[in-house]
Amino acid sequence: MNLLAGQAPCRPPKIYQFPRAILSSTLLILLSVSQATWAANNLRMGVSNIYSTAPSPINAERLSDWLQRQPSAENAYFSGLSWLVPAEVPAQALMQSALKSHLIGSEWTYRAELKARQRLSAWLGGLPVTGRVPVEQSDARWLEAHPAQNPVLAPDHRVVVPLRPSSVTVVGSNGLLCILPHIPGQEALAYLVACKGSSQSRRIERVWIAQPDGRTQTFGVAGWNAQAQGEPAPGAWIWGPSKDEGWSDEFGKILIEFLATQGPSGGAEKEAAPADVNNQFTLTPPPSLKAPLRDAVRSTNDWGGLGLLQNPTARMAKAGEFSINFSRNYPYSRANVTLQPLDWLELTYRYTSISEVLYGPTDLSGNQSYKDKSVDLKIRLMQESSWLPDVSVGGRDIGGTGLFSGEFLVASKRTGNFDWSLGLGWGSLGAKGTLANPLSFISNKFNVRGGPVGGGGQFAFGSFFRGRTSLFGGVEYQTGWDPLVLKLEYDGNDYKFAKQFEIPAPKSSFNMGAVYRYSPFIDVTLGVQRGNVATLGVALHYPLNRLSTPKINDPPLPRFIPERPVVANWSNTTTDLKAQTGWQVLEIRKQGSVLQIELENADAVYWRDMVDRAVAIVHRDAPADVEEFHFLYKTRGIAMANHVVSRERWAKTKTQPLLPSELISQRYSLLNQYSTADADSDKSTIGSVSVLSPKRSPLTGDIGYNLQQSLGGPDGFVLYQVSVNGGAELQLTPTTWLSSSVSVRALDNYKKFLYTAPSLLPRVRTFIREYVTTSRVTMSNLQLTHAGQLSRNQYYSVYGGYLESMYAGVGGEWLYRPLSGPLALGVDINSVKQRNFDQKFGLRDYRTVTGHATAYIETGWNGVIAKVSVGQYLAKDRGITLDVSRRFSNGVVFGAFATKTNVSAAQFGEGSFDKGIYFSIPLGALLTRSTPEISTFNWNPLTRDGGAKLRRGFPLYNMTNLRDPRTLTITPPDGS
Amino acid sequence: MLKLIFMLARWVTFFGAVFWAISGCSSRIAAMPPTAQSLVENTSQAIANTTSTSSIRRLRVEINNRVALLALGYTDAHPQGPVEVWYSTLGEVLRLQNGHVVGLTGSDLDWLQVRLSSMPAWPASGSAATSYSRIRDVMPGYRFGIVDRLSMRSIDAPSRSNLLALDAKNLRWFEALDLDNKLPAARFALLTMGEKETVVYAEQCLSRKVCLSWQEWPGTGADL
Repeated sequence: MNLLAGQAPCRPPKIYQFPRAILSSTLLILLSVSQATWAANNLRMGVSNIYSTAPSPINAERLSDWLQRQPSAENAYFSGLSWLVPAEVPAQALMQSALKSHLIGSEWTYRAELKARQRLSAWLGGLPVTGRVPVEQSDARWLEAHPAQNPVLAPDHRVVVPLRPSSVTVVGSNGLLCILPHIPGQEALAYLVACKGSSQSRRIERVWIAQPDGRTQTFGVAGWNAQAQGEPAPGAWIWGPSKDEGWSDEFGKILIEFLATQGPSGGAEKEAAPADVNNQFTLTPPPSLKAPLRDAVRSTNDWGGLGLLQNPTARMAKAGEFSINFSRNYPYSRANVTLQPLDWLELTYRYTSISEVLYGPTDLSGNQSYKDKSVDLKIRLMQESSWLPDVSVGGRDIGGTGLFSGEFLVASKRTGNFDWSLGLGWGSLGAKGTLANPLSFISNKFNVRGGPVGGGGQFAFGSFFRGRTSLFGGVEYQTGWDPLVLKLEYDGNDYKFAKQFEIPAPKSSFNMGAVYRYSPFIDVTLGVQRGNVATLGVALHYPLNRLSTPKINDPPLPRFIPERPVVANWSNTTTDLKAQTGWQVLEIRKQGSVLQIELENADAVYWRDMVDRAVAIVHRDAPADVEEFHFLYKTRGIAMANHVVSRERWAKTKTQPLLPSELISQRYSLLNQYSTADADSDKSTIGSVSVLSPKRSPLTGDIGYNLQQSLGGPDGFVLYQVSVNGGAELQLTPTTWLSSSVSVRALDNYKKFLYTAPSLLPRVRTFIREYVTTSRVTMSNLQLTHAGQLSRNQYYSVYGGYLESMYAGVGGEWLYRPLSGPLALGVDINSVKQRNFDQKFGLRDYRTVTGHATAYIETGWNGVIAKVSVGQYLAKDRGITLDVSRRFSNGVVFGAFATKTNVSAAQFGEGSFDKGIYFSIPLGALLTRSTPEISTFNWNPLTRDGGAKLRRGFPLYNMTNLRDPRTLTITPPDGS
Repeated sequence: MLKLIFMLARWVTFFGAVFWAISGCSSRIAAMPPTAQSLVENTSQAIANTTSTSSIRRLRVEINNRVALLALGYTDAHPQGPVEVWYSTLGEVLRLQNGHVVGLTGSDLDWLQVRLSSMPAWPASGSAATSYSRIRDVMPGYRFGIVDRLSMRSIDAPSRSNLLALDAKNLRWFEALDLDNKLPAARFALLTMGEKETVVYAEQCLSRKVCLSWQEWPGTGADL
């Protein structure tokens, strides 16, 4: 009988009575006793086809050794290996209890059929609580080479290697089990269709799989949420209720996690199955299910955001996505950078070059074509579900001159390989005016739209969603050849611009194109737009929040030896600590079983990795009686924080995998904050012995290079300089230092740099051309700084000298920053005078007092940090700066800032107010060697005088980074 | 090392461009030169210069045009013949049995359990092809129980291969065809030394996109 022809045979799970399985000659199920007396012999597995088990592992035997001792057998199923640990039983028993409670009726299950819940509850209640812990790999030879993943078997542990099952088991939403033969190449949905029948399977939207190795997965399987996925392996458990059966996703998650502890399916169930069911062990999935499901493919439009060709769609990339997109579509060439700081927020900024329109007068700009800067914003209002589409609203060119400005409301819905979008456009997106503006029912004002803004930079709220309105839309089709996506759209733009920007009249309202995905990170688009223009686009995109690089150039760590040295050996400690972490040791002290390592100006992005490296060194060198390592961090002589590592626990992570129940307690602790006085008092504690106090040179220096560029100016699209920078620092006291920085401009194209922007304000920044071109050798910094601590959470600094390339003076700062606190407050005040253009020692006449009160707020929401500054700026204007950024778990930051002061848009000039977008990348995520450096790309469209801040060299917020609540949570995605 | 090669290849593809874009904002980056060096370093040449100075047997593995050197860890007994267990520097495990890949663990693409219906004989030139089958469990994706129907036949020395130091014409060559065309054909080269015939070079694809060739290094019988 073909199972697909009708109702698949499902059986009540209660028929699998474990006592029957115990009688099986191939079954190892140990005696069942109450959970209160769990001991070695209580670990049970609900499988009967056991190839091998450890009746009593030799104490402290490695799993790899145990595996090597087993006789080879063709049908042993190592992927289904179960490592059973009594210590994990209580947590899994709680999971089982929670499942049963939910099945009585909870917000997750109350809509499901009562009988189904009762059946499921009875079956789950009869399953053993195994204490199973997944093993990274079950290959003995691999485990031998990876001791940290190679379990150490205690006498009360059990290991079970089953025989290879030939089936997978679907846990039916009706509470019955359905066992089907495993067929290579079939995905979970095929098994569900076979069990439930194709009509009842149509509304399955999500499946959960417990694989035989104990790992769990979930995938979308409906037309709107289908995902590329693997297959259920032999012995997998599958759960996939229909949407209308009332089972919540949360229940599915906890159910599959519990089933993953059971070991591979297909043992006891199959043996216990009635004969009439076993006879029907055939599965022939329908042809329509043979094609594997695929992820939705998202690609960018000509404007850099996700979309069709010209049109936006409601789609969003995953948070952290970064893309650079170039498109050519005569007469427009566009370079777009798009950031996705949140799952529902897309930001794009771009330069558009318009062929055959000159930038400006030929004596200034030559034959440079016109350049337009613009910013787009898209916000998702609603997320796609079974019947509803993604809906997004957004604006194009919202803060620029408005030449291409347009707003949209768009919906997108996926049906299998097609992704449909339909939207309503205003401005350039609706210029065809095929519809009356639907907002005109609110007011007739919505029928009239203003033209481009002269100075640009203002949000033209008065024009948003006004004027002519048109529908737009289209479809993306994911072809059978995965790299190829086809696009067709209806364009709502009529391309009738102001006279100087006129282009040939469109011959068609339809655009079509093809996207070829050259690699997962590179898309190439070819198409025809407006019926008469070819288009070419190239997009480079990458999830920056997943960025990490193997550290193949880091010095190798010392070989880990579990045995501790009997006698301390400090001969290489400081040198090796410096080589491994870049950290400078001030002193190492021993106080009983605690080793205190005092470090000066230690810096890192991935602190956890660096601490791990440091521990590897001190574990190698410290005497056997040291049980704890205390890393005391001092920045500029001020105690910042203290990391404590248990030597025994750390060593355990190097020699064997930790159990889930142990993981929580194995984290490094960020202890209570120390003030300088507290740290000093440690030294005088009776029994504290200084074992190492290396001498340090008070003078340090470094040399590097710098590439500075500005884009989109009238003199040339790119103006750049490459310079060699030298820095030196003289430490006068632990908390007082003299710093200097000299730069030699080695290479540039400043011959073209002729334009000095006009200004109605004091020219505090717009003399940029004069500053960068007057002298090749410049001194950007020469200042004396003293920093200190007022109390546990309060810091101060005072400084004076040549503070930055354009200003000299004196100033001071105060900062309140509790350790790991969500809020910090700071105040800085500075009296400065403008420096001469040659950036040597001379000063110009302009002087001012500038300073701000700043609140730094860790919102605790999606890693978002807000900084709000209020105060007086360099041009004596007063106002507020808001900086909002998201920091991802690998340290990558996407952010935006804006400053509004009491100068009018007219006084401010082009741009109307200061604003910008930035992203920063820890170079440790990008390079093959660990480094605390962070590279920041800051897109500030214009340098103006309004809202300009002093660029101080040593802000206290940066100096106290170690007090950040996320210090130990920032790690590379794969821990590399 | 194999995982590293995959990662570096991806890295180069995209971040060459990004590197340029952001380099202007950073300075004093001591970590940058070694990274650049890693990208341009010719590992193939470095491996070619490896000399046989220790008792460790090494395997030169070329995978998608990148080269890595593996070391022999064990030779495990198996009813179908000894299985050589080779390790990369990152602890990935490659298993070879009479020249056939019968396992790769810990890489981005694993063949976990590989079962051959029988160890195929090397057919004499002009004689009929030997048929056999292979069942393999592939990760990621839990693609378990994939059955390959294979046919082994003798072929002439190919004009192109990754073979180094040995003259292809002095070797006996064989090709294992996948009768269902799921994977490209594998090739094996055998060297006769005395009465013993050994596989000294082979090419085999683990997927349609990932192919490797291997050769013991420095080569056996390199004077041929």
